[in-house]
Amino acid sequence: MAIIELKHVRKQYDKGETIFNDLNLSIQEGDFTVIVGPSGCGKSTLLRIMAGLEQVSGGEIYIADKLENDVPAKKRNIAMVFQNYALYPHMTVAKNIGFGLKMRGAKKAVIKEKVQNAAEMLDLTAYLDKYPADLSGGQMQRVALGRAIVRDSKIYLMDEPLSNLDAKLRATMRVELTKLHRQMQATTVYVTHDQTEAMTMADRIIVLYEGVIQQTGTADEIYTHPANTFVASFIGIPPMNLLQASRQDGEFCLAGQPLNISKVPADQTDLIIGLRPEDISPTFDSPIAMTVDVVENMGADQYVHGTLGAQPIVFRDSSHTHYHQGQSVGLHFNRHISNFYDPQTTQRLEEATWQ
Amino acid sequence: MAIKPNKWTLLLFLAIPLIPLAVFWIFPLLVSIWLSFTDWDYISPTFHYVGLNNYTQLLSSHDFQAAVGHTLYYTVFSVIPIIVIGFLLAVLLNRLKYTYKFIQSLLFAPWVTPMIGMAIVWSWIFNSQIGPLNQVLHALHLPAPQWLSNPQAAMWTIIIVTIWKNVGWAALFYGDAISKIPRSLFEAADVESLSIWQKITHVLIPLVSPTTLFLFIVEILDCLQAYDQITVLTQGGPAGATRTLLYLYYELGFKQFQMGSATALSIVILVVAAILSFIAIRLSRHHVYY
Repeated sequence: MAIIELKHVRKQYDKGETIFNDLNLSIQEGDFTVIVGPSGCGKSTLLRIMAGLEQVSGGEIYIADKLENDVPAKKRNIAMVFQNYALYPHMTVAKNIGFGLKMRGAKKAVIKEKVQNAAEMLDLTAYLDKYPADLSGGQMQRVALGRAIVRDSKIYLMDEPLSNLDAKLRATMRVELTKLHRQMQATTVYVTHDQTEAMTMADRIIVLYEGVIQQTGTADEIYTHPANTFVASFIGIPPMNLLQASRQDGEFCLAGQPLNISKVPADQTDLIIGLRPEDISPTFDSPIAMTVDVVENMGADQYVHGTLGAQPIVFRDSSHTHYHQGQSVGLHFNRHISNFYDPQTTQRLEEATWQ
Repeated sequence: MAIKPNKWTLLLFLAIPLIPLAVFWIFPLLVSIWLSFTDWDYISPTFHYVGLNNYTQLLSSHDFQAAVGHTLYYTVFSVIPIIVIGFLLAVLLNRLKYTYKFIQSLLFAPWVTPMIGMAIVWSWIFNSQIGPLNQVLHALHLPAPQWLSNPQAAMWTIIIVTIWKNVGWAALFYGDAISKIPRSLFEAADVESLSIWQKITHVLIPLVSPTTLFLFIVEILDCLQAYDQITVLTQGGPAGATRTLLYLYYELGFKQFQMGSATALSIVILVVAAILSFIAIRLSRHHVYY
C-alpha cells in the first residue's frame, strides 16, 4: 500500500525557478526508499515537501490516503533526520533524544524508558549525559537517529544523514541503518547523492535528475537495466560504458566490427551500447581491441581504462594480469544483458537485444 | 637562521604595548587609590592622609545610600527592558527580507549619535510646557506628568532615554546571534511539533544565551557609567532623585571639591562593577551555551 503519494507536484520558487514540474511518485508502506541524484536535482526539496517544511506550488500530497498539502510539519507526525544532525547544543544526549516527547507532554517515566531503549539500540548508553559538542560525528548521527526513533512515527525521512561522516564510518552506519530498518519496519525515505548508499540499503530506488524522476525500481533492476543513459552513468562504479555504434550496410558496428544486434527499430541509424565494466573481459582473439591508458588497482580487482577508437572504455579485471600504457587488449563482450540506448532521446531501446 | 630572543628583548616587546595601558589606566588607578586616603580638595597643593575616613564617611552618608538605591533602580529598569525589547525586536526583524538592513541602521543610529545632542532633543520632548510628548498625552486625555521636575518621573525620563539609546544596539547583537543559528534547528523543532512559544523558550533563548550574557555585562557597566543624559536632562535632580553613583562622584569631586571622597567612591564603583561582572560570568557557566 502506498503510504506517501505525490500527484502532479509542482514546485516553483518566488524568483521563478522551477524545481519540479508535474512530479508523481508513491512510497510503499514499510519500504526503505532511497531517492538518489546529483546535487541540485531537487531531492532534498522533495523530502522537505513530504515533511511539510516546504510548500508546493501545485499538485497533491497524500500521506496515508489523507490530503496533507496544507498540514504544517508539526502536525504530520513524521520523524526526520537532518543532514547536519540539528542537535540542540544546550541539551545532553538524553535530553536531545527525549526533547520532542517532553514538549508533547509525555510522562517522565515514559520518556526515560524510551530514551533508554533508543540509546541501547544505538549503542549510546554511555553518552547520555554528554553534550553534542563532546561527541564525534558518528555519535551525533546516532543521537539524531535516536531522536527520530523515539517518535514512534510511521514515516522516517532522512536527508543525507551519512554525508558528514568519513568513509569507514559511513560503511558501518549503512549496515546499522539497514538493521535498524529491519527491526523497526517503518517506512523510510532516504535522500542521498551517494549511489553506493542507494544500492546497498534500498528496497526501492528513485533516481532523480533535474527535478524529473529518471527511474524507479529495485537496486537490481536499476543496475542491470538503467532506463536511460543518465541512470546508466550515475549508478555503478566505475560507471557503465556507453559506446556509440552506427549502422554500416544495415549492421551496427563498433571499431569496424559488426555486433549482431537485433530488434532495433528500422529508422535507428545510431545507437549507444551500454556495457558494465564487469561485462567486458580481455581476450586474445577479438578483432575489437582497446588501447590501455590508466590502470586503477582496487585490491581485489583492477579497473583498466583506455580507448576504443576515440571512445573511452573501462573494464573490470579480477585476474592479476599486468597491463601497461599503450598496450592493445582484445575485448570480449558478455551478451547476457542487453542495454541499448537511443542517442537522441537517451532512453533505453526496450526491444533491442544481442543476438 | 632563527634568532633566539633573549629575556630583555621579550620584555621590551611586551613593554611597548604596556606603555599606554600603564599611562592611561594603571597609573591613574593607582593615583586614585592613593588619593582616596587623603583629604585633597582638588585645588590646594597640600593635603593630609586620613586613612579610611573617606570610605567610612562615604558608606555611612545618606547621599551615598540614596545614590546606591537610584543606581540600582536605574540599572534594573534600564537593563531588563533593553535586553527584552532588543531580543523581541531582533526576532521580529529577523522575519523581514528586504528592509532588514535599512531598519537595522535606523535602530543603530541612537548608539552612534553623541548622547549630549540626543539628550538635548529629549529634554525638549519631555518639556512639560512646550514638549511634544505632553501635548500628545494631553490630546489623548492621559495624565501628563511634569517629567523633569517630578522626582518619580525624572528617573523614568533618564531610563526611557537610556533604553531608547541602547535597545537598537542590543537588537543588532541579537539579530546577528539569531541569524547564526542553523535553520535546521528550528525545522527539527517544527518536525517535533513544538509551538512557537516552545521554540522561543527552549530553542531560541538558550541558543542566544552568550549574547544575553554579553549584553547583560555591557549594559550594566553602561548604566554604572551613565552621565551625559543625567547631566543634560536633570543634573541629578530634582532633589537628588536621579543622582546615581557616578553622578555623585562628579558632584563630590568637581562641585564640592572633595577629591578624596570622590576617588573613594570611584574605587567603590570599580569594585561593584568587577563583582557584578564576576557574578555574571560565574552564573554563565551553568546557563550559557557556546
